[in-house]
Parts: sequence; structure tokens; C-alpha cells
Amino acid sequence: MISKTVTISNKSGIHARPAQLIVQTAEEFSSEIFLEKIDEGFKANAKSIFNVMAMAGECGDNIQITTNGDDEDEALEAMLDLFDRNFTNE
Amino acid sequence: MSKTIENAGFPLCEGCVIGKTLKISDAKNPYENKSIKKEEIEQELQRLENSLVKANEDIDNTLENISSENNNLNEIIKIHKSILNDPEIKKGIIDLIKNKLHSMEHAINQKFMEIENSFATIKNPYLKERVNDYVFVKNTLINKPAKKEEGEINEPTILLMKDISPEQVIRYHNNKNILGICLKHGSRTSHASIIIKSLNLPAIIETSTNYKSIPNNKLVVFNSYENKLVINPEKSDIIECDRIIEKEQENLNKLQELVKKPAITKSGKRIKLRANLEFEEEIPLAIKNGAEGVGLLRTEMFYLNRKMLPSKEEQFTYYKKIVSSFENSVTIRTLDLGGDKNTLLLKTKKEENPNLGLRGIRFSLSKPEIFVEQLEAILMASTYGKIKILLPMVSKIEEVRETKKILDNCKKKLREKNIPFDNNIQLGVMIEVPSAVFEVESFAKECDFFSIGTNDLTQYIMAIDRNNDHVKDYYDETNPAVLTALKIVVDGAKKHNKTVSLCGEIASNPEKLKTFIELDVDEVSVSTSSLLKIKEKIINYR
Repeated sequence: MISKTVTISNKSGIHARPAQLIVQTAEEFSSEIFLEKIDEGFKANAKSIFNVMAMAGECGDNIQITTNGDDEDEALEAMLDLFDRNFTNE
Repeated sequence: MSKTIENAGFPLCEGCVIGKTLKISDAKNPYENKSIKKEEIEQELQRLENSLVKANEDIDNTLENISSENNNLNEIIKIHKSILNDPEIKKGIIDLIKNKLHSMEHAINQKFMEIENSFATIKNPYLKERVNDYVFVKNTLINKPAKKEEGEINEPTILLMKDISPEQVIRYHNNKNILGICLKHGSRTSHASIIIKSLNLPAIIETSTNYKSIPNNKLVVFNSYENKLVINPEKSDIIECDRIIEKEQENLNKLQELVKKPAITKSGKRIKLRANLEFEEEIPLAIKNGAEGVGLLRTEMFYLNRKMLPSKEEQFTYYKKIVSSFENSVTIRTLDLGGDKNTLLLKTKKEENPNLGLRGIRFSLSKPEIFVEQLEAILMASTYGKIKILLPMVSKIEEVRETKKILDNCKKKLREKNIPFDNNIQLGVMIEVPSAVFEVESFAKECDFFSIGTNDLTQYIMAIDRNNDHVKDYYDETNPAVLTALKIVVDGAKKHNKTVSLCGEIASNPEKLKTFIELDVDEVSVSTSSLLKIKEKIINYR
């Protein structure tokens, strides 16, 4: 199990489209992937769009990404990349 | 048992049919909010899997059918798919089936209700409005199963029910053996009733008949012309009914021959005949009866009897569906709430005189956030066919100018997002307020067409509340004052080469046809079921 913390930097936070992208990316991996809003302790299954939307991540929130499983390294990297790109398509 | 005659109720849709009775005990989905037995868990879980597969197929089909340029819509559908396949939601539903012994529908309802509640606490407005996507997915999931609840109906049948849902109407109509429907409740203006009328399914509503006294499988003559239900009919009743059916068929055949003919009077006046539409289920009848497009598409049903405001996506899908069904143009009337049509969704203060209050365009301009969504949805659909926009209850020119500004902003927004739309979309004004009659020429300079709503115009000219029993006799669309007003509008519009369409009950009433032909209007828009009757009158008019 590995984890890393990122800060949400896109202005409108994790609204519907970013949430969908997170789920779409997470589904590519067999590992469990969790996002946790550190200040509130809200933990979301990154493969559940409802969980991710309900987390209601706003710009500036710190999110800890945790992955656990066979492809946890790749999964973490892919999630970090998504946050880095501000949820834009490549 | 000897013959008995029940005085039935209100004849919603006329017809005379013979069939056997079948009582449908509950108008609701029979699985809804029901519990199951322990040994049914496996079966219920399998139903859930089947529903998920079916719903996924439906969404994939939709995805295939939209163009790849439509990014906005693509994204929304992807979101729907993610919701549908959300592992946490599924886990929750399975848990409710296994541990609470909920039926699949009950479990889905319960889980999505929790979700809707948690959205209520979300502050971010962008996120908050996405609750509509969840509602959409829930409905997709729940509507799929529950077929054939009425078993195999394979002989002519009259249904006796408490009430009916729009989905049931469609389903029953697909069964050729269901000839008539008798409802204890029912409403004359509900979605279900409008569909019943447009499908021409004989129906009586608000019946006082005691169903308990009628066994299943009893032969009855159901005659909604005479508003009666004859139980254990005698031979003469059956012969009488057969005679009526034969006569109906004759008339129908005669009318059907007119479908392809244009509506031209003997003296050569061509009148475009278009349909009033509210629900997409009315499309087939409108087309079958030869409607030249839609003269009035109502949009209030998005707001009445609903818990959620419609999303732009939902409105767009609906407009697109209607527009792509017709070769001719579709005139969409923007939201006409207020007056006698009110919705709990939008908390507006109670008005002393709602008919003189925040109605139609006044309402839309007071809620720009709702108006903008509707205009954008209309614009987005405008590349799928020809759309015209019609503004209701306009009373002064400033309202048109204000709308144009908002519309221009919507266009700008879509342009920035590279969403295509019809840049020359026409904007018309509905004439239903006396001030608009007097100012018709000023309007003609700034708008593209007119549509006269005779019901409200009569009400406002005569100062008559149509729903007030004390004065309803004053209500007369052919009162000279009303006719003078109509003439002012038509003449004013013609002077500026603008077309005039007539809608309202006057247009649907063959007896009053003379009035509007003499007025020289360009088009009339009538209910789908009156199209051919009116056409027949026009063709025979000299």
C-alpha cells in the first residue's frame, strides 16, 4: 500500500467531469484506490463516482491518494498525473 | 346475472368497445416498495444484474447515436454510465436486497434516495445540480423490468383500474387486445390522460362504478360516447355497439384519405395545419395525421408534478427528439408557468391574482438562471431540424428586447464551447394580452412571427376567469371585441410580412372554423387528434 498527498489546484474543484475522469482512470487498475480529504477525514473509493463527487473536493483541498494492490505503483502515478494535469484530457 | 348499466364518469376519450373486464389492482409498479422472501434473494439479485445490463446497453446505444462533436453530451452520458456502474451504489443496493429483503425496485429507490439526500448538503452549485444525473440513472434502472405485470392478455379486454401511469398507457396500447380503460381517479389534464387521448384509446375517468360488484372476465359494452358501462349486455346492446364501431371505422377511413392532401379551401386559401404537442408519445399520431410540423410545443411538463428541476441535458434530448421527428419546423414555447399552472419546484410567493401576475415571459425573465438553461437547450437542438422560439404572455416590447439580449449571450456561450446551433433561429411573440394587440406593429418590427393564443386573449379582453362558474357564460371567443382584436393582429402582422398562427380551442373547434378562415391567418395549430377533422372542414370550406 502506498500513498501520496496532492492539492487540488483547478478552480472549480472536483465537479462532475473531473470525478468521471478519476473513475475512468481508476477503473484501468485492479488495485484499490482511495482519495481522502485530509482535513475532513472523508474517504472516497476512487472507482465510485458518487463517492468522489460526495467528497466535494474544492480548490486548495489536500487529498491523500492511497493505492493498494498488484499495480499500485502505476495506479498512484496515473492518479497523480491526472491531478497534475488539472483533469484536462491529454 | 342480468344486465346492469353503470353511469360511468367523465368520457376522456370517445369510443365504443366490447370486451371482458380485467381489474388491475395497483396502478403502481407492483415491485415498488415491496419486500421479498428470503428464498427470492437470488432471483432478485439476478433481476438487478439483468437491469444493469439492459440499462448499460441503452446508454451505449445513445452514445453511438450522438455525434462525436457533441462533447458536452458525450460527457454527460459518460457520467451516467459511471453512475450506473458505480461499485459503491451497487454494493448498497445488493445489501438492501440481501439484508433488508427489499425488492430490487425498493432497494434502488432507497439507495438513490440516500444519494439525493446527501446531495442536499453539498454546497458547490455545479456539483449540486448533478443530482439530476442520479435521478436519470435511477429511472433508467427501475423502468426496465416489470413487464407483463398484467399477464398474457389475449382476448378483447377492458381494464378497470384506480389510476394509470404514462408508461402503463404506452404498454397497454401496445397490446392490441386492450380496447378500453376505465379509471376510478385519473385527471383530465395529466400526462397519462393526454397520451390516452393522443393514442385514441377509449377511456372513461372519474368513474363512480363500484369495481367490487364487477367480477373479472365479465363481458361488458364500454361506450364512452354515452358515458356508460353495460355489464352483461343483451344482444341488442352488442348490435348497437357494432354499429357504432362500423360508423367510426367509416369516418376514420374517410379522414385518413385526407392525410396526404394539403389543407386548401375551395376558394384556394392554403392554411398550414400544425400540431400542438406536449409529450413525445404524441409524435406518432401527429405524424400519422399529417401535421405540418409543430405549431406549439409546450414545455411546462418539465416543471409540473416533479421533484427536480430539469437539467439542460434532459431538455436538449427532448427537443432534439421532437425536432428530428418532423420534416417541418417546430415552434417551442418557452416556459409558461404561473396563472393556473404552478409548480412546487420553484418557490414563488402566493399571488392574489395569479392570472395578472408573474406568468409566462415575466416569470422567465425573473428567473434568468432557469430561462438561460432552456434557451441553451433549445439552441443546442436547433441543428437537428428547424426550430422557432415562441415567447408566451408578452405585454411590452422591452420583454422581447431583454429576451434577445439573453439569447445572444447564450449563443455567445455556445460559440465559445464550439457547440453548433442555428444562428438565425426565429423569435416569435404570442399574442394573448390586449396590450400586445394594440402594439402588434411595434412587435412586428422586432420579432419574426406571431402566434395568437385565443384562450387567454379572450379571457383578458372580456375580463373573464374561465374557471369561475359564475361568469363562465361570458367566455366567448367569437365575441365581436375578440374578433376585432384578432383582425388588428392579423392586419398589423401582414403589413410587416410576418406570419400569424392561431392556436387555442377556437382552432380545434370545427364549428368556429369560419371565423379564422375569414381572418386570413397563415397557420393553425391544433391538438393531434383534431388535425384531420379540421382539415376536412377546411377542404370543404367555400
